[in-house]
Amino acid sequence: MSLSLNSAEDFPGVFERYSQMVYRLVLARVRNPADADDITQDLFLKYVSHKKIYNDEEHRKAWLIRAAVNTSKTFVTSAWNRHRSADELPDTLGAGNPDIENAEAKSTVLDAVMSLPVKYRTAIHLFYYEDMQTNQIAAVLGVPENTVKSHLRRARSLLQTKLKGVDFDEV
Amino acid sequence: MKFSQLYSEAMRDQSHRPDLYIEVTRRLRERENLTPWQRFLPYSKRVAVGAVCLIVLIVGAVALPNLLQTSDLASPESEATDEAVDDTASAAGAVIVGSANDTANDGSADTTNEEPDVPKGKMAFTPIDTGSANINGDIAEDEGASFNYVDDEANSGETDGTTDIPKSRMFVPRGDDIAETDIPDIDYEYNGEVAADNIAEVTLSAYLTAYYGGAKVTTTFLSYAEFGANGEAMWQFYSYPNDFQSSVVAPAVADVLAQNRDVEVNSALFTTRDTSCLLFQLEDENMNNVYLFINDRDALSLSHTNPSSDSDTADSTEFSLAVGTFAKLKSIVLS
Repeated sequence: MSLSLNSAEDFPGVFERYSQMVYRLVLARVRNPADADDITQDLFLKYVSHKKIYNDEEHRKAWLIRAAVNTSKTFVTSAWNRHRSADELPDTLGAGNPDIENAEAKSTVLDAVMSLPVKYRTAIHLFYYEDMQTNQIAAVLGVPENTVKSHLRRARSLLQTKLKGVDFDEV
Repeated sequence: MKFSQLYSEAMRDQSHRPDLYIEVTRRLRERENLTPWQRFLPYSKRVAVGAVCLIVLIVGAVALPNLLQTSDLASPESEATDEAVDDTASAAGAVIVGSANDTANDGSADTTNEEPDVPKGKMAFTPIDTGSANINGDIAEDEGASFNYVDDEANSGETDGTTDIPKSRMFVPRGDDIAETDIPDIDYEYNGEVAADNIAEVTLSAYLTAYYGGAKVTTTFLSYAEFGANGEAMWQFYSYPNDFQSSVVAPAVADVLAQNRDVEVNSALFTTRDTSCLLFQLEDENMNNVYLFINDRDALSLSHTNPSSDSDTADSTEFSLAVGTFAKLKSIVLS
């Protein structure tokens, strides 16, 4: 069954369900909250104007993830971003809530992930945060599954050197 | 601690700004209010298109005068100060410099009587006279000299001792080989009057700009002649600057004229091995031919043929004399 979910009535619900997902994925790629906000905004404007017919919610979610990856890739590879001073990027994203007991540990983990290359960050984010399987990640990114597995393996290897005593769920 | 738990909690702490939805909906409303033109060409693209147009206009404004200048009709006032190709060539008797034999081609005066110096880029002159060169003016001995000009109305290929040349190609030996591009404009004025006593008055003025030896040469010349009933001519010839009197300008003018093969044949110009001359074939109102022969080497002496009332081939002998005397013919035409 096809759903025409691009209408104005659908948009508030779609935004509520997926805006944080899109924002966090974009943030994992661009590492800058302000840039992630802008890209998320542009992506949802694109979503509305795209007028695409989605087969189901999974289809729409996959489109949003793919669009988030592509939009952020365009941003990351743009001349403006490449020539931007490293000083403009935040040193740390912060744990957000200082009351949480393991805030320092979360901040360390987040910083370690953000220090990875962008393709590894994407794989890590989709695998550990979105709970997607490697075949799903491969489908949504348009790359072979083995590529996703190798990205995850190398990312874990890099993270293990930075995060002592942290357990990783293997593929 | 598990990595997935720590990372998920850390990520959940990250959130987009609260007013993001408001901002998105505001942008959507703005987009709905856009005119079709604004949707087709958003502001950022309008700026880019405007910038490109501005650059094109600036480049055009800079380049256009140069383009116009190359095709500009040379006026005596504006071009009179133009330097001739070579100052040394202005000297009386100096032959053209920069020939194929003049390997230096440096503009130095070549006052010897060696091979004629012809511009390297202007070597397309085609000798009409395929016989032996006869530069002594003794046409009678030059058997190869023959030319059938426009008054051979039959022009039918019948044997008349000469070679018929199509009227459209009159005086243009190899017109098909001549490119039609880069032909400077020629301003030409011709007034022909024949009085009751068969005196023809002919005035010819022309402004010519030629590129000779890589340099721009401009000459303005005016000729005026009266022909008496007995064929004697009273004539005046003005040329300024005086470069025209040198052997530099005349061939340049000849070459320019030679390329202009679309205009009606009214004059012909010859260059020779040791001199240059200008021969105008004019036509009075009675359709008679009048020839003005100007030889710069001989201080602008004038030869002419008197129109003949009973023959279409008026004074062809005289004309052939010129052809035979001067081995190279470049023709022309002034509209």
